Amino acid sequence: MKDLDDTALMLRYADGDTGAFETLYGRHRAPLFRFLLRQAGDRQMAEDIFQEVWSRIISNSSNYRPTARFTTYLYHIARNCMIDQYRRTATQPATRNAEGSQIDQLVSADNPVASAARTEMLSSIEGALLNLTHEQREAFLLKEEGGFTLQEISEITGVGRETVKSRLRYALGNLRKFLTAPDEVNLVK
Amino acid sequence: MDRNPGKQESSQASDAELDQFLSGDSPVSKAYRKLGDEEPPAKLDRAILDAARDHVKPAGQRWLDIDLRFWRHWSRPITTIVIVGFCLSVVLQIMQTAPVAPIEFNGNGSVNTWADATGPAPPEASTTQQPASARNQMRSKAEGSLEEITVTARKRLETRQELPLAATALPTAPPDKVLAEADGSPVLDEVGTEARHVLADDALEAWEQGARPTGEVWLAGINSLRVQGELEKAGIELDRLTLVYPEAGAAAMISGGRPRHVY
Repeated sequence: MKDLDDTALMLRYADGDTGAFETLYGRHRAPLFRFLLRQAGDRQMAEDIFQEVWSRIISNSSNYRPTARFTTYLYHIARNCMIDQYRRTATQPATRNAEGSQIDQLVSADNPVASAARTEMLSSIEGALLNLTHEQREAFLLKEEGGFTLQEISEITGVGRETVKSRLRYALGNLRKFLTAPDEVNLVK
Repeated sequence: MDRNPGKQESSQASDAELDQFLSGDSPVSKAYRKLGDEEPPAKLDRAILDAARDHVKPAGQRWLDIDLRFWRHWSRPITTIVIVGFCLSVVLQIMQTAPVAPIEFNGNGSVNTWADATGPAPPEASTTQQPASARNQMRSKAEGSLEEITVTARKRLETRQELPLAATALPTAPPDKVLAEADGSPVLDEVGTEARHVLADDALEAWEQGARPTGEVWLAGINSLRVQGELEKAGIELDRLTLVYPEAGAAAMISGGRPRHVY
């Protein structure tokens, strides 16, 4: 069972083999969860979306057609679920926007406690990730957690290949700056 | 899309750095992988795997689901069709088993029903129990010199119930002369309005003797032909009836017949 690729496992599950689904789920549960967690920046929301994604996979299993890699299908659904979740809860993805980073919005400059929290948050790459734009972070996480190529990221996100490259360049540049000199990082506003 | 690209210009990685990242050797990637390997909680795993197992059911149970889906979708149309079919069959059964009143042939070649006689109608039992041989004898007598057939209704109300509903909707003054001119048959004008209410067998007998009865009588006779299985004759007569009574033709079609010839 473990030698089978994702598509074969999915087709076997569609035929009623629950063991195939368990294998498939075991392969993708952790990377998908991390993608959602770091993209959403909220554990509860990530768990909700995670469950929704797999529910859709299960309910649509009988209609599954292996036209693309299973992971492309899986992360495409995950992305749609995340957009739906944002719409339902009327929230915005954890992101830096034109007015400033989410971290900057969480704390105010004249609050020393909040400033300390900000510094602590930025001391990890996780904080730096949250300071990327939603699109940059999405492209970066799709590469890191899903292992997708530029073309596959382009298909999942529905933008051109060059756009994906541009997003990744900005993401890498911002993260590199943080890694080389975290104290001097002037998070771009 | 990316915001403030001008301000982020300095933050862009080079192509070499991007290639390094895509190959998985980037320092950024290494730093990212040092993050903790978060996993979904065990309860979430259980819930998802349970849902996956519930979704896949044994083959027999899936067939049951298909049947239930089929029934849920088609239950109303099927029920409606069954009810309409049942009602139609009951109506047809009632029409086919309706009792037929007798007709009397008198000596001078005319045909009278009991209601047409000058005196009161004879007892019911004597009319209904008339022997078939006697009727045949009277009929053969009448065939020789019959110039005019008089057909009248015996029990108006009863006859109306026995006839198809559409027959009662015919006009009260049917243009029998139209058909008479067409084929030279005698017309039952002398009978008047009473003649429009006669039972099916009586009308059939009148036909066989060349008469062209009024619309209701005619329609009743067509029905009688159908009951006897003479569909060809019934079709021809229905066509002729339709010529004279277009409405009656439509009504007859509703009750089962359809014209096949156009004159």
